[in-house]
Amino acid sequence: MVSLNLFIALGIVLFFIGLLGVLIRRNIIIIMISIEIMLNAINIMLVAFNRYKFIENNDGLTYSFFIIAVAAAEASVGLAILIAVYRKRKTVFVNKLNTMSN
Amino acid sequence: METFLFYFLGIGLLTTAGTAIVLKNPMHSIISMIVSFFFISGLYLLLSAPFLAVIQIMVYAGAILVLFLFVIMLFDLQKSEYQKDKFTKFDIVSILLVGFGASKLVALVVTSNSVVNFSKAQSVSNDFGSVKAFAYSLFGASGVIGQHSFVFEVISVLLLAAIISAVVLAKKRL
Repeated sequence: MVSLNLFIALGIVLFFIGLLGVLIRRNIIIIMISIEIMLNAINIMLVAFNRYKFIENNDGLTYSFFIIAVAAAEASVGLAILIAVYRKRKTVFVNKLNTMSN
Repeated sequence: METFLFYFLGIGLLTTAGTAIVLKNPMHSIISMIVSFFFISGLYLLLSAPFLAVIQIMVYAGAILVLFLFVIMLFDLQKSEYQKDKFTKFDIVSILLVGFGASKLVALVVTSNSVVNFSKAQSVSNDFGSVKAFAYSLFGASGVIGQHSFVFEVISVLLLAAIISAVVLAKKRL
């Protein structure tokens, strides 16, 4: 069986891939996908800690279940905002949506 | 066998997640994300959490990402439009910084005397990660309130608020 370190390392690398996606992309849809990648990295780490360190209870699994529910709510509200913005501005690039800063 | 499966799923997961943030066409990157969620579901099975693996495919790949796909189809982006996403000098700096931070953290984790030491997995009972265990912690058993029942109710209120706000935001005149 694989040791805990490898699962945590995988989660860390996946989290940083998501962070990189938020930093380097301008397309707002890809930014939201990167947020989903980061949530999934945290889920993997929670489940791995639960499986290796706290096998007598189920808390890590239950919390990753809650994170999935919160991610569903976040995606629906974010996409609704995105549709409203696109209808008004006709663009999905965040460097063109900076009317609040200047 | 489990080591081989871990490396197969892990490398596949990192590859598909990497292509999801690199590809220019949002449609291709969503499909790459769906494949990476199947790899994550395999990792949950490896960690003996079958219920979470099923939820991952049904809720994440089946509902959330298909919602993303529908929204992209609504946008009807042209090729000349999404190809405008170019790299700049600032992006090189952020790639270097993120690579530095990730390599430092991974080096901290994979060394032998790290905070998460090389603990091998003990064998678990059949109940671990099953639907029954989830139901006990969410709803309680035989008159006793569950450990996470309150959080479950809060999540349901949050989902209701999300439904209402999505309907209000998607209306024609805000």
